[in-house]
Amino acid sequence: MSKRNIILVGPPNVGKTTLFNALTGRRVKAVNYPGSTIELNMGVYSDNSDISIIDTPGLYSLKPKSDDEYITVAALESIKEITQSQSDKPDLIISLIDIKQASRHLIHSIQMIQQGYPLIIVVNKLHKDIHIDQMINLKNLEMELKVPILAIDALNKTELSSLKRLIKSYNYISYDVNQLHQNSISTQFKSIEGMLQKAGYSESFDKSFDMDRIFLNPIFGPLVFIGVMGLFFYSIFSLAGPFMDMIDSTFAFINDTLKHWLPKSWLTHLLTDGIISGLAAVIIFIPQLALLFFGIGLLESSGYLARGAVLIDKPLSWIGLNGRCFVPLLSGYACAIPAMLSTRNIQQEKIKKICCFIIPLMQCSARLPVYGLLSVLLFGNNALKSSLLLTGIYVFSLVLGGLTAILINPFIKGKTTSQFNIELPQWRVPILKNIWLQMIQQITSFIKGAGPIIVMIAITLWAISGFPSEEHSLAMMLGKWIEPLFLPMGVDWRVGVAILLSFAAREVFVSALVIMFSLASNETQFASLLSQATFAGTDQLIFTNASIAGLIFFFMVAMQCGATLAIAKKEMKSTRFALTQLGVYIGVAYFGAILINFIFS
Amino acid sequence: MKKKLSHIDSSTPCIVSSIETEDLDLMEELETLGFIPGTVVKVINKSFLSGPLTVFLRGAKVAIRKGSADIISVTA
Repeated sequence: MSKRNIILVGPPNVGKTTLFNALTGRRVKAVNYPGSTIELNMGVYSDNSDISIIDTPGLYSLKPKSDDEYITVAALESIKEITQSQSDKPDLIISLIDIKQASRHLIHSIQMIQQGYPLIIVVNKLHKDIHIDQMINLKNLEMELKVPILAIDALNKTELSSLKRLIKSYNYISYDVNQLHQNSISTQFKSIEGMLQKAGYSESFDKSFDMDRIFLNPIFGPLVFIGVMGLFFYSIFSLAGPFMDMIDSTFAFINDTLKHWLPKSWLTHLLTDGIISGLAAVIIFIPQLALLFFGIGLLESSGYLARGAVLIDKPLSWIGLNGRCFVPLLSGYACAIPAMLSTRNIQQEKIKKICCFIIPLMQCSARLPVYGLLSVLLFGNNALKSSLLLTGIYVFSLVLGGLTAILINPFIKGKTTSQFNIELPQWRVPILKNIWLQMIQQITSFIKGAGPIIVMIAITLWAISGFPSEEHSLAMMLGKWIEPLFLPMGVDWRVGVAILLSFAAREVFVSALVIMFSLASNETQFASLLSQATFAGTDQLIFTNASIAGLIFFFMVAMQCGATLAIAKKEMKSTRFALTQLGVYIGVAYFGAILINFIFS
Repeated sequence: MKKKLSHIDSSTPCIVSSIETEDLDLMEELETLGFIPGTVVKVINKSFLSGPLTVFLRGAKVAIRKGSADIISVTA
């Protein structure tokens, strides 16, 4: 029996993901659309394992404007490429709409009907206070459009069984509806309006109080925005603290126990100080990453992110960007990879490129362990000073990002347009289950990506640091060879090796230092060990205020990780773009760090 | 009386009469959002430093830059 496919299509925020979760149960896998990095969620229909359900990015019209919309349209056109099924077109499309916006949301449904797609239109109950059958006679509309129409409540699973019956009894032979001909959007609107009128539907202004009178108010809007963003970052750091301490002490305990019970050998050393410490360096900032993802999910799901985009549009226009860059830049503080993926929502190619270019300057969470270590070396455990340092880093990175956007503007080809039109989703109570599932998915893919790299690097570094002997190791020979590059920054070969390795993932910097500096010592307090570390054979300290300041600048600007490089290349479809980006940032970071070290020492 | 959408006061309903632009992409984008002649629209908020305007139409809220609101003619 051949596999069948059902695709969920609809504008953003009509409950596609909620319906997807309701129809699929848990067996979800992400399928890549060929030639792009986008992931379409594909799940097995809970009533019939021969049917796959596919969730798609939101779209308004079959004429795509952004890469996100393009993917949905492409998926509709060539289902074969993403599902290995025999058919070229999906067997059934479920088109979701919000009844309050019936005329706008039926536009893409009518376009799909015109192109002969087999369709069910599902009116999702998105508002507690509405009664769909009082607003419209769906039977009449069904007769006008000649496709089945059904009202459900995906969140509370009301009428889900009717939808399932409809899916089962649906005649899979392609529909023959051609009474509507391809025509302009305004004609399509007119014909939809006519049908809606016959079904007794009329659009009305919302009588209820509009929260946007406050949140988008010319005066209160920006103030609330600053407050929300401040609270967002503050709560990420303050809430993550206890979890991070817990993870830290758990790993320390495991290490101590292993060291106590296992024989003292190089293997034990590798396992504890190499692999476990290396993994700990990654796992420790999972709480922050999880909170960042959760916070962004919460803001998005409530509808605030779109408001943020509107409020920040004007300032972003000064640096040649627009409001759609808000979400990518904000995500950049979590990780550059999802950030670059979310630039697909930006419609103008030039703006998308500039945005992608400056995303690595947004301080991703992988840099936090690095700054954490450097801040301890500078200020000891002074919490006030280190939080001031971190705030300074964040603010400075914004300034740097703005300047960079202006400077590279003339070098990036493309039409400069000044458009920014966006739909504001309804305010709503966030659906915690969706946010949670999405966060788990993001965290899992992060661990799967970073974990093996960390372990591999730890083992390799360990091996070359102790071979053939600790005094004349392979690492030292290689390190000595590259040391001249790093001496102007005020650091020795060991820090140099750690910097080079941090290209794999920035947090590797910390675990690499752990391995190389703790090798020759029994000191357990790693920070005090580093602060006393000297250049070999001298009593000259490595970590001075000058060299640390240089390192902080270096990490602020340079070393986008290998994964970021790959994503930049893929998203921009240009190796040159990715390499230029890498070269510019490494160059500026390197010479900046040398200059800072020179000035302060 | 014909006016630009950007000149309409907040909370005053008005009707789109035409979109005046040579830029066909922008025209189509605004049409997809629902700005078709005959559509009833209402400005909800104008924003800080003449940033985007929030407009209610066809059961939805959209934000458009002032430049776009300048090319939409409405009758009050």
